[in-house]
Amino acid sequence: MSKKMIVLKSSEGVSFVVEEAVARQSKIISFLVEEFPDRELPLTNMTSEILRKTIEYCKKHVVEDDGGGDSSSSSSGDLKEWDVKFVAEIDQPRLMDLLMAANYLDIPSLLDVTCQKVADTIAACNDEKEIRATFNIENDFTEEEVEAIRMENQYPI
Amino acid sequence: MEQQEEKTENINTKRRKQSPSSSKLSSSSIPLDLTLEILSKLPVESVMRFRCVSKVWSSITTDPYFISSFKTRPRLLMFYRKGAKLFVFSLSQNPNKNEGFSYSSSQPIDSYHITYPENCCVSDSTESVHGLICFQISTNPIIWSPSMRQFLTIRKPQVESWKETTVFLGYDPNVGKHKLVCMSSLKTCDHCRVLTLGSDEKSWRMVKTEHTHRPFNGHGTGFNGRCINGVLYYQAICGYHRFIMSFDVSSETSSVITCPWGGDYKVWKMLMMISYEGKLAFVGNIRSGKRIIMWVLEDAMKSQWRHRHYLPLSHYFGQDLHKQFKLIGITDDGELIYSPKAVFDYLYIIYVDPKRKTFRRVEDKRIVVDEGSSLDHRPQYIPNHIETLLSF
Repeated sequence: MSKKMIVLKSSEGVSFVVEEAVARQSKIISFLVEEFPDRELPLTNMTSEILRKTIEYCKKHVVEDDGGGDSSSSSSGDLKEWDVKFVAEIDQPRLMDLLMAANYLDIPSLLDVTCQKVADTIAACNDEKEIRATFNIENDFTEEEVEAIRMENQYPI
Repeated sequence: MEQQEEKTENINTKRRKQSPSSSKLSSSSIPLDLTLEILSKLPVESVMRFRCVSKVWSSITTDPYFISSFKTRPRLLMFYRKGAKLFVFSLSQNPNKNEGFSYSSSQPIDSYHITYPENCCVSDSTESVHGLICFQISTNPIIWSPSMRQFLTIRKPQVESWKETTVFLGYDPNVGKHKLVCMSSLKTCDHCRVLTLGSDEKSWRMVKTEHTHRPFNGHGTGFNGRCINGVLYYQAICGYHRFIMSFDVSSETSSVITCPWGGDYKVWKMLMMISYEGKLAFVGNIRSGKRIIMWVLEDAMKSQWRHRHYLPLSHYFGQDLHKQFKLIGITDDGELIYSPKAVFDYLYIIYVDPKRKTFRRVEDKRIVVDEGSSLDHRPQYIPNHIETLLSF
């Protein structure tokens, strides 16, 4: 039996033909294919590059259900290692795009790994100024307020 | 057709509501609706230090719900005493990329030192229970929050006939509360004393245990207790019978679990109580270290256990090195964790995956504890420590 394919269209109008089982890891797509079978799904806020990355992730994580039982393509340990490598290779602006794609398409496991990667980047920053610069965050505190918060959050040693 | 168009419109509205930031994908800033998700994955130290980034960050991380639900992935805690100081290191237990079987860790470590609390004996014969560790050697119990760097001394229950007491720490995940359970170490009793931490409760309550027993000293030193999914398990004795007592932290009811090795004290001494895949398990070396046995409690009601054999550390490393390491626990992914028995030039930990028959050896050259350090105690380890924001 041939596998059912669906078509996803990026913001540039590029079509991606994907196995339905792969795409269904997105809860939004899963819902849309049920409501609108045989329709091309336009993802107007996602570039081809990000969509390709997202599909690559979903392909790796798809669980084949035709074999029954635990016939996932990789063991959970291997998958975790693959995930770490997958996000390690992406630069920060693309990581943020991928994070938003995971959120928009509702792919919990991809959202989890991308959020973790962002958290690791934050934790590696030396001070709050570096964080603000890295993530374009406006400082809405006065010097005094920053100092007060710093005092409050000191460890009791 | 009209109906379908309406549906499409609904979905679009829903989508817009779910993710207001998605209309403009592509910017390196963190979308507001994901800030909480991301901040909840930071180490405790970063949460505290970076509250001053912005008002949004500050309000998210000081919210009571955020504080009570915050927890990190399990970490390995290493500590040693030197003079009046306790030196503490919190290390990642997770594999470091695809670095093969032996690698030097570059993952961040949190380390600090703190004044050693008076009248306390900080030892690794205990466990980390949802971020808190309880120490007690015939004195008042002391609760340690390694991530908030705090100690809290609690007055033990004043029961005249209880000369020596044992205290276990439990955690009820449903209401997010820790409880202390105290009983006589020497005298068999059919009751214990319970104290809920972080409540208005000022004194210990008496709770009937139904079964007459007292806790007994297991693996090496200290009284072993393990709290798994809201149930506290500890080794108990009554007359010549040795068994496991389970105490449901929420309902405060007790029951007896029998073990296949029954009253054989030699076996009890060889085995270490652990949590394995969310179940109570015992693990230890048998046949003079030629095998590792693991008993897993499959059904607590029926006292049903299943056992497995695994290859010992010497299979991977040879006899010499094997003698220098000891089993200290098991990770959530089922990896056996081995730590050095003595002081070391620099830290290294061995993780063995007994099912896949693979291992990884993680060095950390940033942590040096050499012979010349004149430590008061050898370094000690508590695996699977979850960092929380709970403070006293």
